[in-house]
Amino acid sequence: MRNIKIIYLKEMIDMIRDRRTLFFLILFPILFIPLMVVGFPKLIGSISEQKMTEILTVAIVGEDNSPELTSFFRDSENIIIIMDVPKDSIESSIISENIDAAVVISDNFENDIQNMIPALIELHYRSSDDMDALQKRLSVGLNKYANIINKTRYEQLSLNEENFTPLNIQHNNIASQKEIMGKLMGGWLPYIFILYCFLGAMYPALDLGAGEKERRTLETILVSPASRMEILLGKFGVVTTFGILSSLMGLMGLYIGIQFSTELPPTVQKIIFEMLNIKTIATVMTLIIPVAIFLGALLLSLSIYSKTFKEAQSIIGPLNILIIFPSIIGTIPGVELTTLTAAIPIVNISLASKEIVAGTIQIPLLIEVYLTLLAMSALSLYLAVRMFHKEEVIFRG
Amino acid sequence: MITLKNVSKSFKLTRKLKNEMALNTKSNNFQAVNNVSIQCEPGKIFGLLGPNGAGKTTLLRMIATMLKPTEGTITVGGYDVARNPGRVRKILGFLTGNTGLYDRLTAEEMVKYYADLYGLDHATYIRRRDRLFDMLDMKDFAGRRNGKLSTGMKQKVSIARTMINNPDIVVFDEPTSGLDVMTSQAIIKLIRLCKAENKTVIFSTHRMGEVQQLCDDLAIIHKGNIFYNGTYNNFSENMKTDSLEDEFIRITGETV
Repeated sequence: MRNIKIIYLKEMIDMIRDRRTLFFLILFPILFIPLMVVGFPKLIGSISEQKMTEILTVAIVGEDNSPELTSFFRDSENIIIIMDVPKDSIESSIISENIDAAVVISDNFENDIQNMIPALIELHYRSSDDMDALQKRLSVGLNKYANIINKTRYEQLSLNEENFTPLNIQHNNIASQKEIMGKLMGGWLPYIFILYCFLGAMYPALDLGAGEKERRTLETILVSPASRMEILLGKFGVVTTFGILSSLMGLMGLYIGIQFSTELPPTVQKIIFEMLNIKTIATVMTLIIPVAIFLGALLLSLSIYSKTFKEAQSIIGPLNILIIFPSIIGTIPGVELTTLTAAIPIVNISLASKEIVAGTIQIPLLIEVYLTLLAMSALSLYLAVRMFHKEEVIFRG
Repeated sequence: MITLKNVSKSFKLTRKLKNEMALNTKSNNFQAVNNVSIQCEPGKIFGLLGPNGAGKTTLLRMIATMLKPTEGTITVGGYDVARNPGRVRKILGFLTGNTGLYDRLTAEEMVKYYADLYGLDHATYIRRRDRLFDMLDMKDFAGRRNGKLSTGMKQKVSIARTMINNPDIVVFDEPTSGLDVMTSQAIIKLIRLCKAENKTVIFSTHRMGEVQQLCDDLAIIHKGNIFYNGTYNNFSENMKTDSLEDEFIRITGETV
């Protein structure tokens, strides 16, 4: 135990002095997550706002077929109307960006409106995006125009508009706001702490396994009085500690991000902070620790197996996807924690934390999650111990 | 005292390893050390002479408990390396020419780390550290991180790390390999000092000059087999060629 402590403390000092480790451990989660939470919605909002208000140049072809519709477009905000574009040059004008879109009013437009049959309007634009603001703005404009016509028709026919709204649906969702938000946020929480646990443990694992082999410091520690088990446990302790710390930093980053988010309504912010209380965080923490043990032992054994730092990176890199993918499953609506999903590593953490945050966790399922994680941690630690005792692995290459 | 009795070591060969080593064999085993019996005594320097790939490092790693012999027994200071590896490591110092250091630790932290692992009490550590730092002229850079040190300085730190437990047995695996003249001389001086302090010293080299300079006893190893095992004086008196190099080639039956 004494030697494990000595090795642990030395490796901690060694790691803390490394700038790359500190970057992944502190700066990355503390800066990156708040930036994502605060900056990303802001950026999306500002781009979308800009798209919705930018001035569009729209050609109207067949303006004489409906002077009313033409004038409707002319009165619309942020739209410049041009009239002199022939129908057969619409496409080339859009491609050459002389116009953004074109509205072609059919010859029988006014007649069809008068006769209450659908009047044809062609919209020409160039969009590879379903959510395109240009298409949305033109459609919204035309719908407004259609509503005006509808109103006139109701009046002409002496009809009550309400008679054409057959259902009055009232929603009564008995789930609390906490539950709804919990399921939404709880799915993302494990994604963040699994991702950061992996990132935080990855560099120390690379450095303390393959890195030590490459620097030829492993030989000297192997001939010290510390046994291989003590050396491994000291290193494993450091990798796991960094995994846990990085996860916590990730959660702290999220907390800071929500605190400074101007996009979230204050009521939602309040609910989130109520959810992230000490009890919830402590329960989620009990999931982080076995995850860190599992990932720490797994990463360390792969690193020890590798001949060089570079080889370890090439082995561990793809593992990232294998770990992150199941952790995203928790964000998929409808996937629930069951006796089956509670036995699937990583997926179970993702689903369990969703339930914990929402306050709907069932204790037998939570116990199953812990047991699965403990079994996985024991297995990966056993793998690491075996690796570290194999001559052909330690002196590979 | 180090005693090896009929020690052999073989490694499993993978197809990849066979290709890398350009081995044209159907066997899945590589015999790195074959039936070696040698004895290194206290107060004497035992030289292990052989070319690259002769099996020197494998032999020394077995003595230092890093590898387990496939056959035979090794005792170091009376302890069997297979049964009591922990005891062996307590009385052993191990130094190579390309020993790595922890770049982010200072020279002093590096030495203290190993002193702690050897379980030295604070007073003993201070006494030994001061003596070693004086002897190796390390005081000026003791507080500097290893990553910022020159090759010579780094090797001095390695020496201090190796000697901080005042080992009875010291194993040097090609200790001067890749080092400049000044640093090599510091190592040679250390090996002589170990002999003067009645320690058991075994060192491997492929440099004939070092054997002449230092060795009391000598073993010539080639392709895992021992071709000579005896005193250096006996070896040099019975040489049938003009130089150590030629004699080595004659004994091992190799052609240039």
